[in-house]
Amino acid sequence: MNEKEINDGMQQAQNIFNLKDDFSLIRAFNEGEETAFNDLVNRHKEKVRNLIYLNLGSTSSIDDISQEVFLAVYRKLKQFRFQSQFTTWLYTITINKIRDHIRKQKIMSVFSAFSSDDTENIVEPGSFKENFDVNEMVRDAVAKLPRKLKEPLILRDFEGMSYQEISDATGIETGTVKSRIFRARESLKKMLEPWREELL
Amino acid sequence: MKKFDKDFENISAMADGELREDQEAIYREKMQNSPAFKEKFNEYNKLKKTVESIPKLPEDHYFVSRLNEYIKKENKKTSGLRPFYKPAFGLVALTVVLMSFFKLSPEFMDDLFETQKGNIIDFYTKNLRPYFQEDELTKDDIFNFAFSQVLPIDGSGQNVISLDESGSGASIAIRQSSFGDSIMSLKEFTEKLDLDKTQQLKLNNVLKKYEDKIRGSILVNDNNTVAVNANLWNYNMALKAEILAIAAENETFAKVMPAGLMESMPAFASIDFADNEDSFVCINPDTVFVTSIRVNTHDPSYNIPVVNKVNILKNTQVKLAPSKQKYGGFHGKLGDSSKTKKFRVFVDTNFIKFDIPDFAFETKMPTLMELERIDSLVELSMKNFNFEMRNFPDGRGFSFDMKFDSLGLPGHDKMIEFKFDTTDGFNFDMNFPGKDSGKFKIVVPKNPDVYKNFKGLEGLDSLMIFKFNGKDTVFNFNMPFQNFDGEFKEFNEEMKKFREEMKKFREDFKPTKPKNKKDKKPVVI
Repeated sequence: MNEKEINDGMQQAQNIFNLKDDFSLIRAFNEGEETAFNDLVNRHKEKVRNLIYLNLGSTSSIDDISQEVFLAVYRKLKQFRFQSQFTTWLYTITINKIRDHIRKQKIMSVFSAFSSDDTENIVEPGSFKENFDVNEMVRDAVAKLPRKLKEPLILRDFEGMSYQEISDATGIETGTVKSRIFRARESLKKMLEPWREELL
Repeated sequence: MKKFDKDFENISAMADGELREDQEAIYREKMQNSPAFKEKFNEYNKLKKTVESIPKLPEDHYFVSRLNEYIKKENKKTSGLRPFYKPAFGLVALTVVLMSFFKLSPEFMDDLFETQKGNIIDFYTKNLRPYFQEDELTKDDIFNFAFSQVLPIDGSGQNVISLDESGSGASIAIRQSSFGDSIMSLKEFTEKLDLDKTQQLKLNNVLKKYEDKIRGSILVNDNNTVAVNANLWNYNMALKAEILAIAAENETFAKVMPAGLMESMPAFASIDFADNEDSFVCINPDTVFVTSIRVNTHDPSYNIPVVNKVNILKNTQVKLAPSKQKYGGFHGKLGDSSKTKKFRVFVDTNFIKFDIPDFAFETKMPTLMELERIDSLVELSMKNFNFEMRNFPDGRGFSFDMKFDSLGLPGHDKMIEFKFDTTDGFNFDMNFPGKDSGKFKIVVPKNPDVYKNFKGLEGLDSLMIFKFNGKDTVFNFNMPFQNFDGEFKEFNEEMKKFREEMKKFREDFKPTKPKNKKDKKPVVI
C-alpha cells in the first residue's frame, strides 16, 4: 500500500466520520444551514427517483414528481417530529405524490381526445424481440401490478424497508402489508411464468 | 383464505425475515418435511433477488441544482399568504369593496331592481285592451252582474268572472260557472217594480255607465296577460246601490225597504273612483302581480279585439296551477310603501282566485254586510212578493201577499198575507193559509221614532218578545217597553211571587225522618 492509497483511505475514513445522519442534517437545516438540505437531497434523491420510476413504469414524469417531493420536504421539514426515520417520512411523501400524479393522469385522460389505451402496454409473452432485456421486462411486470400490491413490494424488495416501515409509509396495517407482498409475488410469478427458466 | 395460501404467505414473510422466531422454527421444520414448501421458499427468494436486481436509473448529477432553481422559482410564486388564505382574503376584499360601494350608493340596487321590474311589467302590460268588445256585454249581463256578481266571459257561459268572498275578505275569481250562480232578469225586475219610462231610462243610463266601467276593468293582451281592475268590487256595489235607488222611487217598494238604509248609503253618483281606478291585478302564466295601469281609452288600438282571448284565460289557469303560487306582489312606484303588501292567490286547473287587497276598496262604499241585506231583499222582492199592494183607507197601512213556497212546510205553494196597520202604533199581522192567524201579530209601539236605533222592520228582531198561547200557529209578539216602568214593576212582583211559591214547594217536598226506626242504645261492654 503506497502513500497515496493510505491517504485516500484516510480521507474516506475522515469522510465517513464526518457524515452526519439524517436527523442531524434536518436539525442543521432547521437552524438555518441551507446546505444541509442539499446533503439530504443528495443522499436520498436516487431512491426517490427509482421509487417513482418503478411505480409508474416510465421515466417521463420522474423529474417533475421528484422535484415536487423534495419541494414538499423543503417546506415541511420544520414540521418533522423525529418520531420515525426520515426515509419513512420521505417515502410517505413520495407515495402520496405518485398517487396524486396517477389521479391527475386519470382526470386528464377523461378530457383528452386521444387517451392512451392501457392494453397497449400489457406485457405479452412472446411479443418481445429475441434479444429482450430481462431487467426491463421485470420492471415492466412490476409496473403492471395493481398499485396496492406494487407499493409494498417495491418498498420491501427494492428499498429494503421492513413491514412496519412500509406500514408507516403507506398507512396500511402490517398484516395487510404481509398479505399484499405475498399476493404481489404470486402475481409477478404468473406474469413472468413464460420466462421462468431464464429468470427463476 | 385457504390454509395453503396462508402457509405460503408466511413463507413469503419468512423470506423477508419478518416471521416471529417461533413461527419461523415451525416453517423451517415444515420445509424439511415438505419439498413443496421448500420449493416455494426458494421461489420467493429468487423473486426477491430478481426485483432487487432491477437496474437502477443512472444517477442524475444535476438534480440538486435543478431542484434549487425549482424551489427558488416556487418560493417567488408563493406570496406572503398561504394558498388557503387567498380565497378568504379575496372574499373579504370583495366584501369590503361591495360594502363601500353600497354605502356610497344605497339607491343603486333599488334602482336596478325597479328598472328591471319596470321593464318586465311593461312587457306584460303592453297593449292591454278590453276583454269584452263593444256591445258584447248586454244590459242583462250588467244587471245580472249587479246582483249575482257573475259575468260570463265566453259565448257559452261556461266560464265566468265572479266576485267571491274568501275567509279574509273579498276576492275575484275566474272559474267555471256553477248552478249556484243566480240569474236575475232585468225584464222581470222592470215589470214587477212597474218602473215608468223615466225610471227605465235612468236604469238604462246606469247600466250603460257601468258597462263602460266593467269593459275597462277586464283587460287582456297578446302577451297572455289578463288584467282585472281591483275596483270591480266597488263598481259592483255602486251599480247595485244605484239600481236599488231607482227601485226605491217606487212607492210600494220603498215601504218595504228597511227604513234608513238608503239614507245610510252615500250618493253613489258622486263617488270618485279615480283613487283606485288604475289598480289592476295582472295574471300571466309566468306570474301574478298588482300594478298601476293607465289605459288610454281614446287610443285607436283600444278596441282592437284580442285573438284567442278565451284561450288566454284558460291557459293562464292551467299553466299557473302546478306552480302553486300563493302570493302575488304589489309593484308600485319607488318609495310606495304598499309595494311590500302581498295578496293571496289560489290557483287550480279550473279556477284562479285572488284576494282583493284592502287598499283597493273604496272607503265610502257600503259594507259587504249592508249589501248582503240589499241582495236578500231584492231577491225576496223578485221571487216572492206580490206587488199588487192593497192600501188601507187614509194611508193607515197596506198589505201584500207572499208565496209560501218553502218545501216541506205545511201550506206549501199557498200565499201568506202580510198586513201592516198603522192606525194604532204599528201592527203587523201574518195570515197563514188555512189557519186562524188572527192573533199572529207584531205590535210596534205608537211612536217608534222616539227609539234612536229603531229603523223600521230591521229593529224588530231584538225588541220582540214571543209568547206562545198554546194553540197552533198562534203567537203574540209584544214590544217589551210600551209601559216599561209599570211592566218592570209588575215583573218584579211576579218574580217575588214565583220565589215564594218555589220556597213553599220546597217545604212541601222536604224529606222527613223515618218514624219506624227505633233509636238504638249504645252497647256497654
